[in-house]
Amino acid sequence: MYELSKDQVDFILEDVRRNGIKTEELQLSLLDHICCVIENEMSPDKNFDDYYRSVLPRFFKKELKEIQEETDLLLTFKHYYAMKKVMLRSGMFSAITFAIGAIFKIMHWPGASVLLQLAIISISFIFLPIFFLIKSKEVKVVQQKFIIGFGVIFGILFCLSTLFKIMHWPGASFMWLLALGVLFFLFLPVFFFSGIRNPETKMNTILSSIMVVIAGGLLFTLTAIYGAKYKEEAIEIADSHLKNVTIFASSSLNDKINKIETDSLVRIELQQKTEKVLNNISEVRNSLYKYLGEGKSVKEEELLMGYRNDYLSCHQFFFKSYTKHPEKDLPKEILIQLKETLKIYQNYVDQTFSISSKSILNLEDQNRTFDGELVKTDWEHIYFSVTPFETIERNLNQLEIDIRLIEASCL
Amino acid sequence: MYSSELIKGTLKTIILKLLSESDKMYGYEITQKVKELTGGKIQLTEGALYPTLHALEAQGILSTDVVNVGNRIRKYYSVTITGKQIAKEKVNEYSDFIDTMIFLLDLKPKMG
Repeated sequence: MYELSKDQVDFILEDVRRNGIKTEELQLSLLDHICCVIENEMSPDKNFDDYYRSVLPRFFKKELKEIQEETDLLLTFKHYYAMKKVMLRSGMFSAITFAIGAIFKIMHWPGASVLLQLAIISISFIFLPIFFLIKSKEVKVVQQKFIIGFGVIFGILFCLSTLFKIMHWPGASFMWLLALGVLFFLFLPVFFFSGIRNPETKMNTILSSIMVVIAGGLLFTLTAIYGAKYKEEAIEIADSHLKNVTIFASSSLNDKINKIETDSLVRIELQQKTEKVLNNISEVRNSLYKYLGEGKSVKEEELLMGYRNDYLSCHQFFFKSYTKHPEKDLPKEILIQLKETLKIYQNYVDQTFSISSKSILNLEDQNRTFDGELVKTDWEHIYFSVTPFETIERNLNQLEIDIRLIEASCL
Repeated sequence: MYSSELIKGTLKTIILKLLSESDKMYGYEITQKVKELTGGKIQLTEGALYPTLHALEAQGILSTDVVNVGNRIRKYYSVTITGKQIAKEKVNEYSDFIDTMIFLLDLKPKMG
């Protein structure tokens, strides 16, 4: 049996250290093992240095430090495989739940909000954090850890701002701005400057950075937070003005009508019929609110927050389907009935008072430019098809004013 | 010699079984024992052995005993009480796995 000298033992320990074994425990374990191999397996006539060189490759595939890395991985992640499993499952759960939730949301089926919330919460609070833990342990360079970290923060903020937007909770825009801030001012600089230094990754880094800038810029332009805010304010002012006019017209007309000396029976009949039409309009309005509020009675302001620029929801309320050609979608009973009521009222006033109410309220088909062509379009589609909530709201207000104007012109 | 992929999944089971049947063993001894018992058919790679030993120690399944041998330190591993239970479970699981594999691959087990 070969006897190792103290110098040889020290040499092996130093060599193990130099080859990337950092923890003392592992150094000592490997040292003992290598010594055992040499002592037990080397024939005395062989040269120590040569034999040592030939023994060492038994411990690794490429480099000795693989043992250190493998040990680190196992030690830091006692539950590495469990975590990986949870990450994959939560990721799959989020993706499936999100897809189903989105379909539910479009179809206005109950449970859409719960599904979407579950999906986003599981992706932001389970999937992405575990993703960060696992990935950041896998990379060795500090910059890479930061890149993954900032990427994950952006992802979480992006998901949460989407959740807030869907749920109509306040703070969605702020969170979205924050997410973009993280993307452009933290993620991108670190990503760009760490990748561009390495000639191997230089090209890909530049390409990816350009794509990130374009994608981020596109998303930002789409949301156009400030522009949208001013536009919303302008619409709000216009809408509240219209509302005031409606209220004023209703109350002052009622006063005046009562003073006008028309044949009282005719006057009462007109008033009653007008009221009936106005009631029908408010019925339509109320059931729209109820539909959009998913059964709950929701205030108009809240609906305005949630359904602004939503071209789909109101269309689905007023029409039987939403197809690629919404101009051909058939209106639902509620809209047909409203039109019928308006028509009957119009016929009544035109005949009784010999006026032409068509100049105020036109229920006939009209020519509209559609994709650069003139298309005959019916009243239902002009005012209610693929129209966002705020415009529907304005159209209903306008309709009320029209009715009041017709009433006034009868006297 | 079996491929390293086959051995990798069984490494923990082999280590725990060996250690629970003896008082204490050190790394090199474990590799030699396995080699001897299997007639050289299974040779544990050091690259996989030590990470697993350190991880099992950190999890409290193995305990260690440090002894001075000549110019160096030798670490003896032994199975803790919780480790014994886990070793039993691992061996049972593996034996069950082998039965399933025999059934799945339609092999005739050698009797006797």
